[in-house]
Amino acid sequence: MSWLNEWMKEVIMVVLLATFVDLILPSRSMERYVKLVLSLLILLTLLQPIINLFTDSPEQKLSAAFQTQAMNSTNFTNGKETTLQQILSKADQMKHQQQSQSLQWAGEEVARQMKQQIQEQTRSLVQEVKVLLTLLPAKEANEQALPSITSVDVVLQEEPQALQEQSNQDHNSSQPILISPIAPVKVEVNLEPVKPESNSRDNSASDKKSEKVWSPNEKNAEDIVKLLQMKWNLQSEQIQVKQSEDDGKI
Amino acid sequence: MEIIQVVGLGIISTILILIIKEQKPMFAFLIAASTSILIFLFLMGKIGAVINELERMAESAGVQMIYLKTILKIIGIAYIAEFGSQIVRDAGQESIASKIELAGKVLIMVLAIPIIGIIIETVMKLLPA
Repeated sequence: MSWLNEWMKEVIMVVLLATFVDLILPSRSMERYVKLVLSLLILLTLLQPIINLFTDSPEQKLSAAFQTQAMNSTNFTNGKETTLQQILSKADQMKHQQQSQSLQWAGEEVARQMKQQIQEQTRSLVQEVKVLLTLLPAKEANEQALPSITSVDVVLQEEPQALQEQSNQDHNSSQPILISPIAPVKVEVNLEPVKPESNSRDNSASDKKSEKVWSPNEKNAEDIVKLLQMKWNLQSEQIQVKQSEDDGKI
Repeated sequence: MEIIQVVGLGIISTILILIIKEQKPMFAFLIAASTSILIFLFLMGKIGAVINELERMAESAGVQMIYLKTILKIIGIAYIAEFGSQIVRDAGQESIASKIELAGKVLIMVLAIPIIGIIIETVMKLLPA
């Protein structure tokens, strides 16, 4: 019986609305026309269950018909304005796309330079540097929005001396010489003091790991962070240095 | 007490128009038109509140939005056509005013076309072929 309930509700509401519209109509001259349309609407709501039996729901058809009508009329009368608006919105979209693309490109370029600098200065192998750029909103109206670095992720590769000593040709597998080659190594040097638990978790997860791997890494990471802070004018919490995490493959 | 403001505005502009009509009929028309536009704008907020309430009501009752939209379109066309035709009629251009009214009527009828189409389609399907 729920459909009856719904249908009754709808009919009552449409009739009420139609009466209301009839009341607030401005003049008598429009009355006949308005009444015709309103009565057609009420007829449509009354017929709705029958229409639903034969075809799909009348509301969707009605909205589709109105849409095609509106499209036809805009093409016919003020096509220019709509096309102008369309062009403007399209241009906005393209601008956004371009901006994000250029930001991405700039981020890659900055990352490349950072990688080079780190490798030159600290002599540690860097696997990957990820730089996230965002546009700062302009302070003044005539100023352009300035891109700024929000975060820098540095992924360190294997320690160089460990790499040299390593007999394994695969330079991606990051086991130091001191431990068995099967044991996974996962070192995450996290310099933020707010998250000490990640360090401790990593330590406890691989407690077999010797301190020799741990300390040069940390020193290296500190060096890298200092270098980046100095050269790129960054905050230390924006920089994250990690050991490469490719040991999951083993 | 907004009605007092509206009535006061109307009376003042009527007096101004009566004074100025002998010398400059053009300015009298301008005053009349701007007064009616002002009152219209004044009422716009109230109409918006009413329409919002109607929409809320219809939504809670589960009425399809397309019906409400059609009804609101009818009101809008009727009001705007009436407004324009009366301003033009005040300026003494009876024929243009009637054309504006005609346009309003035709546009209201255009809203009826899809409804008529759906009803006729259903009736044709009801009848045996």
